[in-house]
Parts: sequence; C-alpha cells; structure tokens
Amino acid sequence: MGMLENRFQDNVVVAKLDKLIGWARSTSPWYFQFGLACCAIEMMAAAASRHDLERLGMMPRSSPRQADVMIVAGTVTMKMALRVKKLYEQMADPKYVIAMGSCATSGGPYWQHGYHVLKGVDIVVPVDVYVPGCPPRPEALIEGLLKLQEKILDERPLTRKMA
Amino acid sequence: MSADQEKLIAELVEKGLAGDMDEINAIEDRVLRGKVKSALAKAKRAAKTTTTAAPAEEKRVAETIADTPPSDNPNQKFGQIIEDTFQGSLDAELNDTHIQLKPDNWFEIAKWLKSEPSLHFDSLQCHTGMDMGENMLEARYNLHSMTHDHKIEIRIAVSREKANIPSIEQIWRIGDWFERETYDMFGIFFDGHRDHRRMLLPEDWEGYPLRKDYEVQETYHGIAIPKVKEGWE
Amino acid sequence: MTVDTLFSWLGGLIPAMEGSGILLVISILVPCLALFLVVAVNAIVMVYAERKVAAFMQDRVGPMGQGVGLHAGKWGLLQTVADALKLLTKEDIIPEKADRFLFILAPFVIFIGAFVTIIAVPFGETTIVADFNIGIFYILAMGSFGVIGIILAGWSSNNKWSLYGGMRSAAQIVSYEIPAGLSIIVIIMLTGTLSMQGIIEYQAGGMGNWIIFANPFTFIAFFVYFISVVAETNRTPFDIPEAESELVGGFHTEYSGMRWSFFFLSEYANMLVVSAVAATGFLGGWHSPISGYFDSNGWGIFWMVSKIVFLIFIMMWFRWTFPRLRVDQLMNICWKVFLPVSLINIFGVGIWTLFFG
Repeated sequence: MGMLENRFQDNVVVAKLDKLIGWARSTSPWYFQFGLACCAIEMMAAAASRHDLERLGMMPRSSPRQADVMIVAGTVTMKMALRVKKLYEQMADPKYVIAMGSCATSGGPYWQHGYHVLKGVDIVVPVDVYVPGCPPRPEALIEGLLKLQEKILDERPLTRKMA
Repeated sequence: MSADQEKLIAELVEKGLAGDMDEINAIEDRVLRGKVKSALAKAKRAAKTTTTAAPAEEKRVAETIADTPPSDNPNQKFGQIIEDTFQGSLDAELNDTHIQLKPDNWFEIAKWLKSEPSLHFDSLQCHTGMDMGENMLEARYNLHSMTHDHKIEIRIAVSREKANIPSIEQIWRIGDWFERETYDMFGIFFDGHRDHRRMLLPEDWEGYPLRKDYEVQETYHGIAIPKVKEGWE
Repeated sequence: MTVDTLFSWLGGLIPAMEGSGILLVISILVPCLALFLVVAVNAIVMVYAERKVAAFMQDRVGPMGQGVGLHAGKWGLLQTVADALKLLTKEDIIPEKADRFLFILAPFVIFIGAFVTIIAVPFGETTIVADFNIGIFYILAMGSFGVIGIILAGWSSNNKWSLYGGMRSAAQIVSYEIPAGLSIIVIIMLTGTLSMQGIIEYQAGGMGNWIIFANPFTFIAFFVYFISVVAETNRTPFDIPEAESELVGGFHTEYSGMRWSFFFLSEYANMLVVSAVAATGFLGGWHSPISGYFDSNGWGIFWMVSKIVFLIFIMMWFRWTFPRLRVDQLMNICWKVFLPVSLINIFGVGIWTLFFG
C-alpha cells in the first residue's frame, strides 16, 4: 500500500475505506510465534484449548513474511538480538511487535547482573504493546492483544495526517 | 592373649600366607588352631583389598605406604595408583576429596584411566572450571566407572598467562562440549580440541565472563550494555 | 455441455450474429467466470471450515468473531473475508536475489494447474463446462501441471529451505500420481469409457450400483486412490513440503500477501477437484443413493456437492488425527505398498469380472 498510504484528504469515502481496512487488519492479526524462553510456554497455553487465541482471529504462522504481529516471548540475549532485528526486517508491512513478559520488556530478573541479556527488546525493534508478567498469564497476553487490536483499528492508513 | 601366643600366631600366619599350612594343621589345641586360622583369614582379606590393581602393584603399594594402612577412599586409592603408574604427575598431597594433577601428561593418564580394565572410568560425569584467585585457574573432572561403580575427582591447576590443558575430548566424547563451555567461560585453552570455539556466547564476544576479574564490554554491535545498577533508579 | 447450450441459446437470442466467433468467446468466458466464482467461494468456505473443524477437533472454538471493535460476524463467519482483505493490503516483498520473473510466475502456474481441471468436473446431469470424452484422463494429466509451479516457487525464492521443500514436494506428487492413476484404471476397466458423465451413468440406480461396492478390489482401490490424492495435494499426513516445524513453510516461505494466498487458493481448488473425481469414479457422482427419490437435475447438484464436502471433511479430519510422515516413509509407502496393491487390484478386477460378470 505504499503509494496509497498517508495520501488522501479526510472525507467520507476515505474515512469509510479506512475503517474497512482497519477492521480487516485488526480482525485477522496473524502472529509470528517467536518463543524464546519460558514465556513461550504461556504463549502456547494461550493458543491451546482453554484460552483460545484463534477466537480473536489470530493464526500462528512460522514464516516472518506471512505474519503481522511478532510476539517476542522470552529473554533476548545479545546473540539473539541480532537475529530478532533481522527477522523483524523481513516481516511485511504493516507489522507490529508485542513484548511479552518482563524479560522482553526490560530485561526481567536479569536486569542487574545479566551481562549478555538485552535489557528490553525495544532497544532493537520498535514495540507496540508491552505485556508485563513473569510469565504473564494467558489472560494477560489476550488483554495485550486486544489493546493491539484497538490500536490497529484506529490507525487510518489512508488519510493524510497533519504534521 | 599372652605376648608369646601373639608372637606364635603372627609367625604361623606369616607361614600360612607364604603357603605353608602343615604346621598350622599340626596344632593339637583346637582353640589355638582356630585362632590362627581366623587370623590367617583376616590377613588374607586385608591383603586382597589393599590392591585392586595388578598384583605387581601390591608390592609397590606395600613398600611406599609402609606404616599407614591403605585407605578405602577412592581419591586416595586411585591417586596413589596414578602416582605409581605415572611418576611425578601428582601436584599436591593426596587427600579425600580430589586428586590434583599436573597438566603435562594428562592425556596419557586419561587414556590409561579409561582403558585399564580394573579402573575403567568410562564416564566423564561433569567438567567445569574454577577461578581460584591468585592467578590460578582450575579445571575439574568428575570421573565415574559404570562397571565398577567408583568415582573420583581430578583437578588440574594452571596459571592465567599459560592456561593450556591437553584436551580429552577424543577419550570421552562428551568432553567436546564440556571443554568448549569451560573455554567460553574461563578462557582455558584445550590443546588438541578439534572444534575449539565458544559454546554459549557469540563468537565475537570479548572476555571470559566467569573469571573474577571480568569487566563486561561497553557495546556489542552497537547495542550499549549498561553497567551494574545499584538499587532502583 | 454448458458451453454448447449457452452458445446455441445466445445464437437464438441474437439471430444476426448466430454462429460467429464473438458469441463463442462469450459462451466460453461466462462459464469460466462462474467457475472462478465457484473456486473463490469454495476457498473462502473451506478456509473457514478448516479452521473451525480443526478447532473443534482440538476442543477449542476457532474464529468466533470476538475481539475489539466491529466483530467478524456471528461465529466468525466474516473471518475469511477479513483475512482476504488484510492480505490484499499487505506489502508485496520480492527478495532482492530472487529470480523475479519466476517468482511472480510460480503462483499463477499452480493456480492454472488447479483451475483447468475444474472445467471437466460434472456437478450435475447437464452442469458441466466441458464434457470431454477423455474427461478423466484430461483431469489426471492437467493435475500434474501444478508440480512445475511448485518447483518454480522453491527455486526462485533463492532460499535453501524453499528449494528442499519444492524438490520434496515435486518428488511426492509425481510418485503418488502412479497409484492414483492405476486405481482410476480399475474404474475404466469396469465402465469402458473415459468420459466423466459416462462413468456416472454406469453407476445409475442407487447405492448398490456404485463402483465402490461392485467388487472387493474396487473397494480397496477407492482407499488407495483417496490416500494417494491426499498425498498429491500435500495435505497432512503428507505435508512435509509445507510443514511449519520442518521447513518453516517449505516452498512458500518467501511469499507474502496476495501471492501467498494464491498458493492457499490452489491447494483448496486441488482438494475440490480430487474429491470430485473420487466422488465421480467411486461414489456414483450426482446420482442419489436411493434410486428414484430426489433424483432430478437440481438434486443432482446437491448430491454431488454433498459427496465432495464429505470427502473434503475426511481430508480435514486426517490432518488432526495422524502424525506427519517422514519423507522416506512417504516414498516407501508409495513405491513399496501402494504400487503393488494397485497392480493387484487391476488384476483382481479383471479376474472377478471374468468369472462373476
């Protein structure tokens, strides 16, 4: 959508189209399962029977090119941080990142003495939603996803936004 | 028992150990004969447990530890055997917790420890490093034998400047990853290791983290590494 | 059938241009457009059905249209529409070192391979776009057209995992053509015709006349055929080429947005065609199971579609029941088990027909 983005003046047709695109994107956010450590187990639990992520329209994809949301679940080490950045760049626009758990948010329990731990994944990729917890319960992850859906719904990609 | 009787029993026991049973069987007093025979059996048992190595070792063992009886502690026992087979390899006194070796002919010792049938240490259970301070780095090996069920611990100390130990990864294949991890964390170089690279940290990391004098680097590929924070900020 | 009737009807409507080329072109294009709509609707419905069926088998609920803002309909019925719209607005990435022309061409080749087979599928007594007298042979031949597309996709992505996936998939599809084809020969032996409508007419008169129940050997042939086509369409348990945990998506790893959805679409179109061929050849096509009742033209479409839906449901059922087969086990089964069994089937059907008529 490169040519069409941020281009049209705000009128009723563009507003309706924006709403349609926002609805489509927020109703089917396909997630790139990026489970690194213990939070991955909670992400799997959130996708399993009792709390079902597919109710909200999310489908797990394992290739970054086909995913919209990258859920960084777990501790990010320096060695892995380079790969996280590479995979983020391989995702197709529009893309979003959820930092799940305290390790991805700010380094977690390793904030003080971890010499090889990245203190928060937002040092290498731009994060949209932070989900705190160690690990966050599946309900907490679902709340984070709902907040992300709200954010995508109101994005209005087509209207030209005033600087 | 009187002193004469003890002396007589000791004489007869010596004769019995040498193989001469006629005089013992000729004793008419049943009590005395019983005492001599039980003392002989005890002496034979003691002689058997002293040496589990080849019988040739037995004489050397009896010579070197003249007055103290051989201990049952495996570290002492095998340390003594190692010292007997490879002279000059012990780096410190024998004690109950570990065997301290020099790094020089560690590869031959290790190969002998695994291949010798009565020892047969076929499992390297654990391998780690230690920074003992005062310019001493140690590598510690925990060996276990699955056939005989005995275990020992071997420690090899090296200095920080020349931290080289022969690699035993061709003897116990698990040593491959163990030694890579010790190299990664302590900087001990294992000569002869076929795949000598870092295990956990990335290849271009500087420094060996578990040393006591480690300072974490400032940046890694442009990512700044903050130093230790005191309390909440 | 439909092309001819449309042509003559249009000729009757506009007497001035009767028999001209323009009318022919129109009467070919309109049914093809209708078929395209059928394929699109089929894809939408089947994607939704697959997610729901998968969810119910795993004791979940699947897409329920829950979430923030405007919901995706009751029970998530608009979920696939939202998916399609989202894929349309995604960025189109073509890797820099990829072979650009082949990268763009590959999804189209696969789709064409799936689409041209649908024109020979009989949905009802007169509802068939082109009633070839070599119908089933045509479908088998054009069905292997998609292999080229898969190899192109794997090769042009410039990614070693995609190449592995493409090669394995090509090997798998080409190998499983053989037991499938041999099982179809069983049908041809019994009916004596290659035409799809001819095969269905042979099975007229209720369930007892269906080819699957004619003969114990045709019974086995049905199962051999069905499992072979599950392997041909790269469905679980034979989905090594596109499995997520094996090859990160196989030959479609590097595709994003609408290009990737073409692969999805053609997989479901393939499933439709092979289920249709199985229903035609073994299960009596558009005849109703009880002869005489519900047997008119309109009911024919209903019976055909319900048989196809039933077979597709079984394919989805397989996905969440069986563990995935390794590549060597897959090829082992094809060449060492199915091939001898299908040869024995041909032999057996011949002998049975000789002795029992």
